[in-house]
Amino acid sequence: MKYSLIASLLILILPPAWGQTPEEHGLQIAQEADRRDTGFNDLPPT
Amino acid sequence: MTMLLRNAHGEESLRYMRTRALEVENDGDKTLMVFDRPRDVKGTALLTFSHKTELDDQWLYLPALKRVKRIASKNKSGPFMGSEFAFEDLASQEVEKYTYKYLRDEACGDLQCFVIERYPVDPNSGYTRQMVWLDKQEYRPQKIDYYDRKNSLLKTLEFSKYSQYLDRYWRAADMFMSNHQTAKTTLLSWSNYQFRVGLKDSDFNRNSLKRIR
Amino acid sequence: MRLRGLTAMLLFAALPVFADDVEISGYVSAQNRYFVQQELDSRQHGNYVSLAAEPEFYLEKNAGNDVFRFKPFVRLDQYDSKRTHADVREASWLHVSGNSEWLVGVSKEYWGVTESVHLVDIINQTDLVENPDGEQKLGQPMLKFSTVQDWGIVDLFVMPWFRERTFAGKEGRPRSSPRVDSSLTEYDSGSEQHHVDVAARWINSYGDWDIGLSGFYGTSRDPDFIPKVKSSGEVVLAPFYPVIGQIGLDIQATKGDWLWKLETIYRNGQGEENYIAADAGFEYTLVGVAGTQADVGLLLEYLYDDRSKSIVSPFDDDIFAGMRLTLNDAQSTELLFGVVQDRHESSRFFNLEASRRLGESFVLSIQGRFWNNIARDDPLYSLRDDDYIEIDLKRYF
Repeated sequence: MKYSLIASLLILILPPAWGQTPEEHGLQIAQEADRRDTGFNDLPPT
Repeated sequence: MTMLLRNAHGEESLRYMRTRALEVENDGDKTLMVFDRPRDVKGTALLTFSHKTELDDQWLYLPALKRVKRIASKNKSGPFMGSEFAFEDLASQEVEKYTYKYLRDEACGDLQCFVIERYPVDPNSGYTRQMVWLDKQEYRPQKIDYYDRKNSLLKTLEFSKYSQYLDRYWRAADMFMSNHQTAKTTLLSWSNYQFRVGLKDSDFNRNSLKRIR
Repeated sequence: MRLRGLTAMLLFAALPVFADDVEISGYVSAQNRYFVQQELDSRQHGNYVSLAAEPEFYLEKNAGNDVFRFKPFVRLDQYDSKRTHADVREASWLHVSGNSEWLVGVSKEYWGVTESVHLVDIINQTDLVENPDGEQKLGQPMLKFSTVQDWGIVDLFVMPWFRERTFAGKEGRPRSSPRVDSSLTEYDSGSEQHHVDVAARWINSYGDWDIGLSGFYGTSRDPDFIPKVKSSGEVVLAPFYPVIGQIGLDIQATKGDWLWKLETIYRNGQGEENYIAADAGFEYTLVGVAGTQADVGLLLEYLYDDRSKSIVSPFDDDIFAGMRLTLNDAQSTELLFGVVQDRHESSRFFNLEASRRLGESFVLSIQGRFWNNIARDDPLYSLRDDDYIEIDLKRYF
């Protein structure tokens, strides 16, 4: 009982610590790139 | 903005155009693009309301007839002005337009890059996937490989001459697209970037499309 | 028009002051029209060479809030004294203030969405000698007000001067037989060309639907024709321009690769009875045909005019089918082929347009127009032997 509680706690806690799936990591990079680029308001003539 | 088109025989052709864009909160950008050269298309202008996931709205202004035409934005995989850029390559790159997968870290030139793969959500995209190299320091795209619908390498886009504007926004002055299947290339060069010059929503409608010069 | 031209000249006499800022662009063109059949009238010819120029002078002030345009047009034709003509296509001052625009001077305005006929489009007179497709227009003197609101764009027009349609001269082709003699022009209105015409238009977009609603009251751009015998004994057609009222509706739904289009008008004052005309259809685009970068558009439109009993309209119950090929190459090569077929008679009209850029500043275009099996009672009957192929080379500057 004790062990299974620890095991389920581990399951809950561990994934973020282990890191993300490649899909989540990819999305996170794209979002970060987008975040750094938003707020330029407007971008006129070239 | 200029585009230098070069075919496999080395024959060159030059395009001049200007563009202005307005960021729209919770939606894609509004852009207005006007062509200066070739001279027979001078004054031709394109108004685009891009959306995160739905089809973009696009109107084309033809100055000879003074006609504004609503056009089917679905032809996004088609070439832009006969160049190696497709409309979708130049459209605003909303996060929601793709799903992603992180592949690896890798050196790219002098920099260290993330290599991610992204898959267009829109079934009308001309690509099955794109491989994107973003430098780890500033998250700027350095290189994109485009894979066609048969999943073979079609084009490579390389970004260079990055400058930073307003101490924050990085923009590449040169974007070089090479088509591996036809040996044609297009060099897209941006100049005179300006930010926050006070463009308003009212600068992006069918009247301003007819007016822009 | 001579007077208008002068006003335009005066308006633009101010231009040299800012000569440095004036942008000049435009084209010069050389054109050859070859007529396939023997001419119906011995005064006509088999081949016509002509030259044309359309420069545009453009000046922008106050950060683009004041725009001056002057665009004259001139054509010199080898034989046709009426096709040798000049026009002020544009001589205008546009003032922008917030969401509103004022325009005063000679200008051009295009309304509508369909390909084969342009029913709703009514502001400008057709420069018919330029092209029988009716897409070339004469400059229209006007005062225009336009405003952009959340609920759409509204344009209001006051037009103090009427422009007569241009018609081919004695030696010109293609032309009707008997020919139209513009010197015998008559008007419904006692003030003739000075009748003040008014028009209004509202357009808006709702998602992928674009809707336009318009109204016009004034001298019809489409003349009726009255046969007359000249003192020389020659039978000619005299244009008669009635005063009309017209309401127009144009709708386009842009659904992916499908463009659904409708134009319809209700007109009163032209002929004895009020009438309705409509053009409805679609354009479907096949993107990247056969693994190439080319697009193929398929067009189908149905043309209706409820005056079908009379012979006034050639498009009373007709089908237009067309194909547009766009290569999407560096030379912008395009080809449009269309045919209009009467549903009840044999009458058929073929149209071919192709163009391609040569180098950086030349455009070569080819047009072909063929009238086939035209029924005797069709208004196009007298064009039955005027099939032609036109080659045009423009140099842009």
